[in-house]
Amino acid sequence: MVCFGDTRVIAGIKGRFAQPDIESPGEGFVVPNVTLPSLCNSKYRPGMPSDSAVAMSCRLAAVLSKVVDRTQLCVRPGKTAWCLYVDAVCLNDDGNVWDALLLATSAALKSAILPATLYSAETDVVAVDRDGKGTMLKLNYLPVSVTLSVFDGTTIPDPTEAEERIEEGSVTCCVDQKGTVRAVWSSGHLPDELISGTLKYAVTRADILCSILQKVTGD
Amino acid sequence: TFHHYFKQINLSMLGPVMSTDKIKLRPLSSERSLLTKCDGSARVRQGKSSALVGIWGPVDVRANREDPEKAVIETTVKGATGHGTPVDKVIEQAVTRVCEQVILTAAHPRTSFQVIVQIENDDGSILAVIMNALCLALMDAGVPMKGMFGAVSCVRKAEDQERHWDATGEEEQKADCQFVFVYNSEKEMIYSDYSGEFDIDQYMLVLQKGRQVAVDLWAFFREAFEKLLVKDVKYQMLLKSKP
Repeated sequence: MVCFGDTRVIAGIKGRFAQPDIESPGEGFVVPNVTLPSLCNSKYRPGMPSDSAVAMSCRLAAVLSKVVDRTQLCVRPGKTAWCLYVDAVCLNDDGNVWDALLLATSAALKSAILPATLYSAETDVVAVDRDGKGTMLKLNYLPVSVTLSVFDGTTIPDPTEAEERIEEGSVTCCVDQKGTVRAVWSSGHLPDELISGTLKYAVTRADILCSILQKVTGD
Repeated sequence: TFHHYFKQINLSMLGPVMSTDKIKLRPLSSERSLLTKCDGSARVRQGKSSALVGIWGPVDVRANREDPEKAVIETTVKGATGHGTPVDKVIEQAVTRVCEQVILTAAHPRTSFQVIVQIENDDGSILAVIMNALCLALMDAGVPMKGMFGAVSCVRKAEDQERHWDATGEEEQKADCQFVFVYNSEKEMIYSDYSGEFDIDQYMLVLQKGRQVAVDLWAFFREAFEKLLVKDVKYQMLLKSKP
């Protein structure tokens, strides 16, 4: 669970066996999903997932597609592979949900353990070996995100909901633990110097978030 | 009536950073006012990528969605094939964000502008194509705007680390970095989307180069409209009445 002020987000990973794709028999699946239930904010209505939840799921899928090497999720090539359902649920939306979501998801992925499996040739069934030792999930990099709101030529990091409602635009910068920028999307007009300044700030703040993440997940 | 205009933009860039990028865009064509029921519409083709945008506005909005201070932008994006995918929602958010910045929404409170985007063919750089079609459609609808805007996209290929502007679908698949920049008429960046592994200095370099391309795009938009307005009697009279 990640709390940024009043914004609370929880992420969890559940593994299920699935048949791999015919075109990639040695790869498993990572299925991220973002839920913004109506309990987190009155602007979300119950029923169909809101547009922002769908867009965030899509963005999360794009970020995670390069983070997890899916060949390690293969159990029996062509027959069985792990399908990891990465669910991120917002419990309270007080702005800047995306940053909290990505941090929670990264923490969950970093501490995820793939259970050992047993295969029985007679029954042709793969089962989880509860006494066996699981393997930690190997990540290519650890993504962390920093969002800033754009107002009238200045930027404010980590906006609250009140700030988000009146913002002109926002800059979201996804950085990995080494400080390499992995994704940036921004709206709102920004002069050039402010863009580079904002990105540099995002990298320094991401470093702080990464160190907290690594402290919590025990490194 | 619609107007068809074809132009190939070919630029050799020697910016202040003295790089040897040769910026070559795919053949660009546009059509305007092709949908009779819309207030404004436009189709832009860049190579084989094609997008059609229809605009209604300002129109009525439901009471629970109206904003007493400004117009609300409602966007729908439809992909080329099949049912909607989550990627369409991300494009919707992008289009809404750009519209909010460019349209003078405060001039029309308690109304809405409806933007419908139909992706006809996605052969790479589709977000840039959509943004360009959006600009033309808004101009066609006569929506009050702060200025024109133009979108440019660029990818960096994984194998040779070379930059390709206005990439095709095939080039995009082989790329490890993708950029899309939207500039307003003050040449400030108003929207960007980038993914890959790049450092900040190179990001700024691509941003600055893209600006030059956007300026050429606006020249193209202007020509596209002027060709049509040559036949417009009211506009000609307006030109003659000016000193």
